[in-house]
Amino acid sequence: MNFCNDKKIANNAYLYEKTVRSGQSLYFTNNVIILGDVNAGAIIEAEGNIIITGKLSGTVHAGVKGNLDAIVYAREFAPAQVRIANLIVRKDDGDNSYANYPEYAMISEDQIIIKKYI
Amino acid sequence: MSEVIVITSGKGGVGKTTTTANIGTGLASIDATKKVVLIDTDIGLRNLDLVLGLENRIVYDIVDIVQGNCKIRQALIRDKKNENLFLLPAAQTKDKSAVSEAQMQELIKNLREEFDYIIIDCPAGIEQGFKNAIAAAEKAIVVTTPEIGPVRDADRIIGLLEANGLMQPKLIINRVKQNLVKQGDMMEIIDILEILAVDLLGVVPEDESIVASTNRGEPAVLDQNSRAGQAYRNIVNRMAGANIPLMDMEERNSFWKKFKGFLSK
Repeated sequence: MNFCNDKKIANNAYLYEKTVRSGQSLYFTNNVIILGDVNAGAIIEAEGNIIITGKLSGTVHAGVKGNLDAIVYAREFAPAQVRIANLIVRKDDGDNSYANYPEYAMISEDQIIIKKYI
Repeated sequence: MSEVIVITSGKGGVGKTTTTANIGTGLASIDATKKVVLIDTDIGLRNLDLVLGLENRIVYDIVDIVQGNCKIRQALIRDKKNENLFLLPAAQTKDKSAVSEAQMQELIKNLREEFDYIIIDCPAGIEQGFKNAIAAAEKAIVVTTPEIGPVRDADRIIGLLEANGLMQPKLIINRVKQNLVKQGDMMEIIDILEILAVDLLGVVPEDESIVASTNRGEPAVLDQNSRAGQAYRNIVNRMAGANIPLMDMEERNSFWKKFKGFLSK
């Protein structure tokens, strides 16, 4: 799997070098790479892709302006909600488990799917 | 005719949010014809969504409503179990100044058209968040624990409520440890009532099962085996007009404790 197929060329990524904590709300006009965790209660919005090198527990919105090709990647993928463009999925009730491998969310056939990142 | 009730305490950590979740869930479950909405006014430090297990459903919040980003019904989140229970979540990324007292009054005026009970979870403190929470309330419930700090703060809060026209608030004494009271190490209920001079709505015993139910996002009021849950059921029934005596604060296993104590002598 590569993120950089023809439609998803990721340039101009902002490098954010801190953990994003509860109550913090960040907006990026392009792609963003978070070097840290995104805690529950935090919101990251980006017009492009969101790459999180740590654990994602908060809410993320990729492709805010409607980019259906945007993806969200996290090394530990346990978000409360994932939004891509105008679609939304939420964590199952009472399910605090997450895979022990990196995962990413993308749109496939008009819904958000979460896949193992190989 | 809807009732607008604020749940407040002054002190943080005495159980306002837990009480709000339990009373709301209880009111919605004893009478399926009544619609209940719980409003979290703790903007920036919201918790009520967690206690109800609804965090993953939040898209819009109270600040989005007052800023006109969404309609009220878009921000209301229906409870997982109770069809007639709703949450209006606070924003986490703003602060208390994001909502004014006039905006709260307008919001609650609109909610009155649809809901029988409007229960407002007040933040700790006496600043803007408190002012917003009480701005449109008609009744108040003050939560305290049997300790001198929280009781002092409850007294302050009752004074502020009365100064704002919220007369005769009702009192809930939370997290009572009967064994400590018996040893004289914790304030007696009667002493608290003497200081605060308000009507007692209920007494909730310290109960470890509350910790577990809060972490699961399932209010204890629905747990038939929880003593705190029983206390909240009593409170809810009293609010609905029933005359129910205060529950026995003794721990259920006290006989066995005594028995063991006897053996070890």
